Amino acid sequence: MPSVLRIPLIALALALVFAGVGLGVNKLRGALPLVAPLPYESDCPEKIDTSPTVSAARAIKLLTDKAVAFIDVREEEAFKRQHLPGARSMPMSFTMPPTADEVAPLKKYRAVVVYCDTPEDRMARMQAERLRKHGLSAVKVLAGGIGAWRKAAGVKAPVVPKGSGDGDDDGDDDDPLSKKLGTGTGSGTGTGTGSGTGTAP
Amino acid sequence: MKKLLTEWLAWGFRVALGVIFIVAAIPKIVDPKAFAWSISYYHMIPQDLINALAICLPMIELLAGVFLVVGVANRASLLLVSGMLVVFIIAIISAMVRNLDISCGCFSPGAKGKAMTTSTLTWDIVWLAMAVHAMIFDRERLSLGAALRRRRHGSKGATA
Repeated sequence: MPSVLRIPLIALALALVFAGVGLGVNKLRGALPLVAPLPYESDCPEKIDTSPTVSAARAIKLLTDKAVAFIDVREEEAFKRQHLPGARSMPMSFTMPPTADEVAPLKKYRAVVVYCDTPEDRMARMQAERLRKHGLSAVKVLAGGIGAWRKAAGVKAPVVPKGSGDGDDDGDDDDPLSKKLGTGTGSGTGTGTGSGTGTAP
Repeated sequence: MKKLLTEWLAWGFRVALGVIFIVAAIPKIVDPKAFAWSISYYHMIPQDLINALAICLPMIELLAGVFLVVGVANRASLLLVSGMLVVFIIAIISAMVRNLDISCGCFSPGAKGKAMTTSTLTWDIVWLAMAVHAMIFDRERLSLGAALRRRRHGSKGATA
């Protein structure tokens, strides 16, 4: 056999043998099925910007400023349970970005502050980027989301019915299990309005 | 003297690459599911092949790394490692071009990994250069394969 081919062929043989060992070890461990039963669906991997942020303390001051709009990008259920005073709901959807009609009312504000309850304010940053694409220039993200606001304002997390499965994930609930399952069972006392929507004090 | 230095440098590169590949493989073998997720983030491999790759690739990395450290089938192992590095470089460039916000999954698969940066790509290119250098200049210093060969030839000579 020509020596030029010998090394690549040995390399190929090694790769096949090593892969075989990998398959054998995996079979013994039962770690991973050879073919995934369900497709891997990674959530939106697009790069998110490092949006300018607003601290919770600053946000509390801005809440009294009529020229600043607060946008809650969590699911509607979470918004109904509790939200920042005067905030409006605009849930973040990977498949349905906000339309021009939805964004138009925000153009009259001097600044828009977006918040969520996901780690690193990921959803808020994504929604902020989408709003900027609609021409809003002063879009900021509330650093730490609603959890940071609760801490700064001394507001407790609302009580979430067990099994609802859509609790906040901001990691400030008292029950460690709720952190894991996202089914906040904290001892907070959300106050209800006449329409049944929990609002911030 | 210069030749000797080049040969020892090739040995150093070979062993260093072996250690790097062993260190990279272990967390992937420990948590193949996280590595499978890391592969999926690249959106380059058909879904049905992701698990197979997540199972096989770390073991190839580990055993190729061990072969490099102990010095068995040096050139073939270096070629294998170079081939993997070329694939990794292509994957990283592809992810960067598509502006994907993912970790490379090189040393810490899954969400634990650090975000991919240009330094990720730079390191892979440096390692590829080290592998090519070792492939060209390796003279099987401190090599188990060469030692075994010498021993076999010695015993053949003694019996003849």
